[in-house]
Formats: sequence, C-alpha cells, structure tokens
Amino acid sequence: MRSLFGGLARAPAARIDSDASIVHGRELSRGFRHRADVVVVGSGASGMTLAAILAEAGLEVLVLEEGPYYRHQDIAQFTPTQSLRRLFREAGMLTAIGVGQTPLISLTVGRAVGGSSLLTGGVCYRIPSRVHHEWVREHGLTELSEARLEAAYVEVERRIAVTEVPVDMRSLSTAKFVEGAEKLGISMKPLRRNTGHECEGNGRCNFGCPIGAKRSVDIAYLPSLLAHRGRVVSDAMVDGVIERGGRVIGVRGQLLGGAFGAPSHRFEVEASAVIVACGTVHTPGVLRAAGIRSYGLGRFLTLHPCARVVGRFDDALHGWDGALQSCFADSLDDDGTLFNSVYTPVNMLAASFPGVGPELHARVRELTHYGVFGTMVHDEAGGRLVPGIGREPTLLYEMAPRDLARLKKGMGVLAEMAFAAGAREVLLPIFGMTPLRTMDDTRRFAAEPLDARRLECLSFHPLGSARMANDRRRGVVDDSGECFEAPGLFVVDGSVLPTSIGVNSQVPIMAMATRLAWRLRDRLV
Amino acid sequence: MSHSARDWERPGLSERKKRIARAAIEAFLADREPADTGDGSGLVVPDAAWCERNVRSFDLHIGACSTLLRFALGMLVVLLEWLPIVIVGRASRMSRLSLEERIRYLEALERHRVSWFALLFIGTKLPMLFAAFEEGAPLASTGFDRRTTQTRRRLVIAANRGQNP
Ligand SMILES: Cc1cc2nc3c(=O)[nH]c(=O)nc-3n(C[C@H](O)[C@H](O)[C@H](O)COP(=O)(O)OP(=O)(O)OC[C@H]3O[C@@H](n4cnc5c(N)ncnc54)[C@H](O)[C@@H]3O)c2cc1C
Repeated sequence: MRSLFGGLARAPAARIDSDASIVHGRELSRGFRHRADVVVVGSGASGMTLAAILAEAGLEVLVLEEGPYYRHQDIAQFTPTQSLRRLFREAGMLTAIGVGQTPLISLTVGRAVGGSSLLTGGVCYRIPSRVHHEWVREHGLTELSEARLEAAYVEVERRIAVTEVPVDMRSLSTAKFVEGAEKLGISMKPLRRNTGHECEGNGRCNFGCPIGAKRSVDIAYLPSLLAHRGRVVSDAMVDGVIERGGRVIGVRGQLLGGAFGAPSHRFEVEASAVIVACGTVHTPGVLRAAGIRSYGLGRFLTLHPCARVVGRFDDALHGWDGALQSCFADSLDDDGTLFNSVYTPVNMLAASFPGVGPELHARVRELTHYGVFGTMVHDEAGGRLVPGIGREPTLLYEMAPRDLARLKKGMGVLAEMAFAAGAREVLLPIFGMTPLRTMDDTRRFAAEPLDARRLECLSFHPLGSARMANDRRRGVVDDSGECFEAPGLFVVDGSVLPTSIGVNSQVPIMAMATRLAWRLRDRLV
Repeated sequence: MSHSARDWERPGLSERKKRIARAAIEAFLADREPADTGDGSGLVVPDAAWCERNVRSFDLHIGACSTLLRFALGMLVVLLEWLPIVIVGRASRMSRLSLEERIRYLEALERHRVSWFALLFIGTKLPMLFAAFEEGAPLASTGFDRRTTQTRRRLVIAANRGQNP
C-alpha cells in the first residue's frame, strides 16, 4: 500500500455507515472499507461525467470527493464570500508562484461535489481544429482527432444544454466593449453556454446560479448517477492507492471536515477500475503516491493566464444585469489571444478597485459606471507542480516572454476598445498603476516595458500535468487514460490534455472523459 | 440537515492579528465628509460594526485555507504592521498610526516601486475587503439595485429572450 502522507492510520474494517446515496463523510463516526465495480476519485467536470456514464451502463460506481456536498439550492443562497470559503480550494486564494519575469497567478479551482464545474461562467467551447491537428500530427495521438471526439462533444453538449447566448442577454458592460471593438474593426461573436434557455442574466455564475440554470455536473449528471448504481462520499480525500500483483486495485484515504479537533477516520475502496479525476493540480499528487515517476508528471502545466480590464463610462451600466459571459473575439491575427466578455460580482469589483479610504469609496460610488472585459492567452507549457509542505502542492510557473507580450497586447487592445466606446478611465490590472485616461496613455502603456511581477493575473483552466502520449517515454497516460507505469489506474481530468488549448476547458475535458468512459464501459461491461 | 450545521467554519487569526487587521480595515474603509477640503481633517472613521464584520470574514477566510497558506497570510498581516518604518519612515506600528497616517502608509505601499510591497498590499487588502460591500448599506452604496447578492434580477427583457437578431 502506498500513501501520500505516509501510512500512520489504522486500516478501517467497517462498511459505509450510511444508506444515503450522497454520504457526508464529515458526519460519519467511523471509517469504512468498500468494494465497487469502479471507484472515481474527484467529482468535478470529468469525474462526475465518467461516473454517471459507467453507472448508467449498470456498473456500481463509488465517487470519492475531498470537498463538501451542497445542493445547488443551498449554493444559490451563499453570499460570494461564503461560496469562496465553501466551494473554492484555499478559499479562492490558491496561487502559482511566478518564476523570473512572471506574475504571481491567482488560480481558482473548485473543491466540492461538482468540482470546478460549479464555478464556471458557463462558457462552452470545443477544442480548436488546429489544436486537434497538432495532437494528431505532432504528438501522434490519432485517438484525439476532432472526428474521434465528435460524438462525445455532441453527447456532452446535449446533456449540459449548450446554447448560444442571445444578443439581448448581453449586459450593458459587455455592450460597451462590443461597441468599442466594432469601432476598432474587431468583430465579436456570441458565446455558447451550458444554460439552455433558462439563464436570466443574474450575473453570479461563479458563485452559484440563483435559479440553477447553469448545468454544472451536479445538475446534469449527478441525478442520473444516483438513480443508477452510483454513490458519492463527500469530504473523502484519497491519499494513496492499493496495489496487488503489480496492478492498482483500489484507493485509500481520510475523511475530512469533522468538527474542529475531532478524530479523522480512514477508508479503503477496492474496485475493478480505479479512476483519478482530481483535476490538473491534484492528480499528480495521487499518481506520485502510487509510485509513478513518469516523464512529465507534474510538468508541462499550462494555465491560460487571464487579465481583466475595467473601464469607467458616463452611462450607468449596471453590469451585473445580463449573462455573466456572452460574447467573444477569438484572436488578433490568430496569435492565441482570446477576448471573453465577463463581469465581476460587485463586492469583488469594489474590493479590487485601487485606492485606500476616500479614493476607494469614490470609485465604489461610481461602480455602476464601470464595465469589465477579459483577455486570455493560449500559453506555452511553463508550469510545474512540486510536492508542497502539507496538503497543497507548490505551483511554479514561468511565463514565456511571448505569452507575457500577448497578455500585455490583449490588455492594451481592451483599453483601446473601452476608450473607443467613450471610457473616461481604464484600470489595468497592474498594482499601483495610475489609471489610463486617454487613448494616448494606452499607446504609452503599449510602448513601455511591463514589470510582470506587478500584474494581477488570473487562471481558471490549469491543464496538462499528467499528459497523454503515444509512448511511455513522452507522457504519463496512454490514449485510453491508463497510466503507463500503473496498470489499472486511469486518469480522465484536465491533467491529461497534451497541450494548452487556448479556449475554456470544461467541455473539452468532459468530452475526453466521455470518450474514455465509453472505452472503459466496453472493457468492463 | 441544513448546510450551516455542517460547516464548522473555523477562525484563522490570533487576537493580535485581528487587531492589526481591524486597524488596516478601518483605514481601507474610511471615507471623507462630503464637504471635506481634502486636508485630512474631514476623515470619517467607518462604522465599528462594519469593520468588525470584515475582521470576522477575513478571519474565517484564513481559517478556510491550508496550514501553509494560513501561515503565509498571517505573516503578511504581521509585515503590514511593521513596515511603516520602511515605507513612510515612521517608527511606529501600523495599528498605532493615526487614521490619516495609516491611509497614507497603505497608499504608499500600493504604489511602491518594489513590486513585493505592492503584492503585500493587494494580498491583504483583497481578503480583508471581500465582504465589505457584500450586504446592506455598503452593498447599496455600490448602486447594486437588488436586495442581496443572491436576489434574482428583475427581468425586463424576458419577452425577447431566445432570439438573436
Ligand atoms: C471560477 C472558474 C470559472 C470557470 N469558467 C469556465 C467556463 O466558463 N468555461 C469552461 O469551459 N471552463 C471554465 N472553468 C474551468 C473548468 O471548470 C475546469 O476546466 C473543469 O471543471 C476541470 O475539470 P476537472 O475534472 O479536471 O477538475 P475539477 O472540476 O476541478 O474537479 C476535481 C475535483 O477533484 C477533487 N479532488 C482533488 N484531489 C482529491 C483527492 N485527493 N481526493 C478526492 N477528491 C479530490 C477536487 O476537490 C475537485 O472537486 C472555470 C473554472 C473556474 C475555477
């Protein structure tokens, strides 16, 4: 038996002490030992998708999730800070440490039943054709061609109700930037989102939709998982695997989140297939605990670095009214920069305004006049995950000079859009920087060097820390997601993507998980 | 069982760090009398209950983090307390400065040319103020026209939905 944090605890002996289909691990008074057909570690976009498909095929599936479980009706009642504390890893303050001319990057990932899928803005893209071609041609991964994934895309998009965002759902904040873009000759297209026709434009998707319109996996897949032979144990963190005869046959871990100071309990689950879906940041830790040392484990991490630009206009925009994200421009000269419309919840926007005391209040009083737009870069693989002190790994990221230049260019273009639409000031996400007041200021910004360490950079799509390859010398898993070094252990989450994709990652990850689930189903049923 | 009964939110700050956080939050949220000339005399100390709510939220926020991050954020709070000598040349702890001096110190930190100081500023300001404009009168002061951040939008365009021009 191998374990991430050593093997101090005693092995459990009892069955799961609850008949509920969703077991709150923190409420169990003892550990458990369980046997299922399939055990899935992590209940996010990939894990839940795969678990539901296998349960629908008649297999008994147990999902183990480190984070807590909340019904979406409960989440809808959380204030943004409550959501941060309960649904986001590190309460939303997970950070990638910049190496060299690289900013600290604030990385958000989910930690709850539903994973990061609970927190998305609902934006749905497919992987661009050129990325599929690269995977096939340069990485030799013929299984990842666009044609091979087509059926999986269609299935995912059907289940999560992907539809185009109507123009009249755009907020006035978005409309301002669109107006500016048109004046600059940049065309904006409608985004597709997983909200069906239900979205009311409440503008708080990242913290829980008040009406459950967003089809996150807890809404689109969990009910079916539970209606078949699936169960979920929340607050259950896997920290090691069980091996027999050179094959991985189960996992072991610890129940979390009990009352402060209460003893924690251990569990063990054995299964015919063991699936790791802990997300790009945490899967390498579980694989390391399984003794895997493959080339590329914890390396080649990409982040899609993002920046948000805020502009103040004469009109009151009430940017919170409208779909949180509704349109995009895909790139300037095809250089890998994406512009997505977005809005930031008012309390977060207010907290992030520059200034202290009276200066801060002056901006807050004008908040309805501020519009927001985002830019994101299709980055090179500059990240690395190393085991940290305690539970969380340390993330190191070195931004390629080309990516930094693109991010800067993207911010400059957004500032130009804002001024073209009549903005009075533009706040760039650069600590301590005086707001831009004119188009000339923007040109000066573009011409001056940028100290990357002052940049307020965000990331929502970590990818690629256990990448798929056609050869064990080049990656961690094969094209069916099985670890080269650990037969019986499969990985299905964002970590297996061979490169960054340059677009929001939820649908691509779910489509890959669907394809892997179909293959596993054929093997197991 | 309701979700609140399962949460066991836990605090993350010692009393000493809470005192430092309170002093910083007071400065972040201080405002000026409407007729103030800008000489500093017209500063208004923010409502004590409002500051306390933010200290509590910051405390719980830190408590929700891993041990290492709790430690790191705690260190940032301590640094915030001891840096006035470096940043504005005042041999005093931040929490002992007058409100006006505290504001000047924090502003200098935000604009400091050494990026680590600017990072220290943002790394503490954001979590200290996450909850500041989230409820009640402070939320209303942003112009947000719903009762709470959880309240649904008043739909005025529902009839046109589902159609693109
Ligand atoms: C704020 C935000 C907004 C986003 N917006 C969009 C968007 O609009 N469109 C889009 O396409 N994508 C978006 N994304 C990205 C998208 O959500 C992710 O790409 C996707 O959810 C990743 O899926 P995953 O299965 O790899 O990981 P996750 O969904 O992160 O799931 C991993 C799960 O595993 C659990 N886990 C980790 N370690 C363990 C362990 N040891 N034991 C048990 N459980 C464990 C975690 O707690 C987590 O719940 C957004 C992400 C965030 C955070």
